[in-house]
Amino acid sequence: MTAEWRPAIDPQTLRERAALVWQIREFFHNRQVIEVHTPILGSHTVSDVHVESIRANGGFLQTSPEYFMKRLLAAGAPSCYQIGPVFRKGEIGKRHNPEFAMLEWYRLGYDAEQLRCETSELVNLVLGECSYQTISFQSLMRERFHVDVFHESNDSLSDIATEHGYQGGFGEQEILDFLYSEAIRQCDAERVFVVNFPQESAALSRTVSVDGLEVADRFELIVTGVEIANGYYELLDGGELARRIEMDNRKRVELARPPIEPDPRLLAAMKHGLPSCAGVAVGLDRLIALALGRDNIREVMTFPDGLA
Amino acid sequence: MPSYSTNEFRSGLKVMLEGEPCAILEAEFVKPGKGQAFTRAKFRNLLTGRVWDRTLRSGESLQSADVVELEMEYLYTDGTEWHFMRMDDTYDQVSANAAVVGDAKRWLMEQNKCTVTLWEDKPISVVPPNFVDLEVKDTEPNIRGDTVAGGAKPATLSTGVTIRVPLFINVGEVVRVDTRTGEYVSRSKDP
Repeated sequence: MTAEWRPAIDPQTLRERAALVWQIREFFHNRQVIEVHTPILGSHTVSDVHVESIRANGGFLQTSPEYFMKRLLAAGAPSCYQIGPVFRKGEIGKRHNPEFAMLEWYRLGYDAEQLRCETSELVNLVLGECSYQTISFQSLMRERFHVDVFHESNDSLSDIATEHGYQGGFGEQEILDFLYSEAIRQCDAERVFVVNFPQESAALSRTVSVDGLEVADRFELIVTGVEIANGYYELLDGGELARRIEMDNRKRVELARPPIEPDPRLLAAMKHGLPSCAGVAVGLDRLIALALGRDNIREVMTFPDGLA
Repeated sequence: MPSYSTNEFRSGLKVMLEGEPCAILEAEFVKPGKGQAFTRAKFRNLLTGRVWDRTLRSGESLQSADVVELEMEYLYTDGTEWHFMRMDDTYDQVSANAAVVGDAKRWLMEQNKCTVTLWEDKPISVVPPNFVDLEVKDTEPNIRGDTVAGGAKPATLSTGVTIRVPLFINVGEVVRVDTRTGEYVSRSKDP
């Protein structure tokens, strides 16, 4: 038997992908957003409880260029974008590959709403024009499950999850994750920005008070049930970031995952001062798969897991 | 029994879910942006045939189900149990009740080779061969000259099942039937 050497992508799709990436670069060029390249291999990595980095050469393959791009911004870089590979351990599926292409960009002086607007313009360019709905996490869950997830007891949320076939653990955050993944899967609108997430999932975004409730000023763009983009009104307070990393690490230890050492260079850059900005990351393979009508991202990748 | 982690899930795998043996139909890795990774899977309950949608935490495991499919020879029925024999050199016999044999009983002729699914050595389903040859026990006689193409009439076969057959088929003939559709295929080629 000969080894499987052929790429997953066919030559025609390869051309179509290249044309879309070219259009994306032109989109940013026209807006004076410059392209940058930052390391794929870094000494530090993110502390997200549910993102596992791949270790390499004493450091980590980056799960997103966020830390490096923020250090550029703190040092005076203008609004910038990057298209490059990122890595997440163990994520394999129709819409996941351990290595995938990410498009990430930062806009100085933008807030989350302005960046949502620009994100929709980029997505229109790639997928064609469409209307966008914006809905809060709380309203989305209320529409789907008829409960206020921020005020409902964990027991009744567990019951709803079980009714929907959930067989996992019953930690509060985990149940919300499950219900959210169910809600977006069955979203009626074609393109939806979900906003105002629970503050526990703020990561590197600011939090904001909405109707007396502290929520993360983050958004996710869902296109036909698939998460395409994740954006933040960026957190500027390094002290707050250090506290969040500490909290992540407590949860990681509870889940028997290795704790992550905070990146002293990022914290130093934030202490020096990150300009007010908003940033967003787009799963480029997913976006291209949607544009080309493919159900599995493998079909738009050259050598996905198993061939790489 | 070994167990399977969600990342080993693939179509066809037999696992225990909620105490019952199931076959995995499909499995998908799901991960909301900032959240826990899940595996969303469809399971066919091998006892009831029902399909269950379930979501598990990624990395969790399910016990494998001791389920095997065997080609077995149908021997006889005593009216409450249907008896089958292994076709390997053990000649072991198993018996299945009416609920397990289900619709297959309409087609079972002695010496038929059936696919019997065993869970912990007990039969949980019986699938008859795709085609069986059965003798016509009762049908209206062919009316002379009635050769209209596509004409059909009911006929009762040796197992007691009634199917539609062409008008030219008579009592005593052996017909071939597709057990998946219950439809007449042809006169048997080897009577």
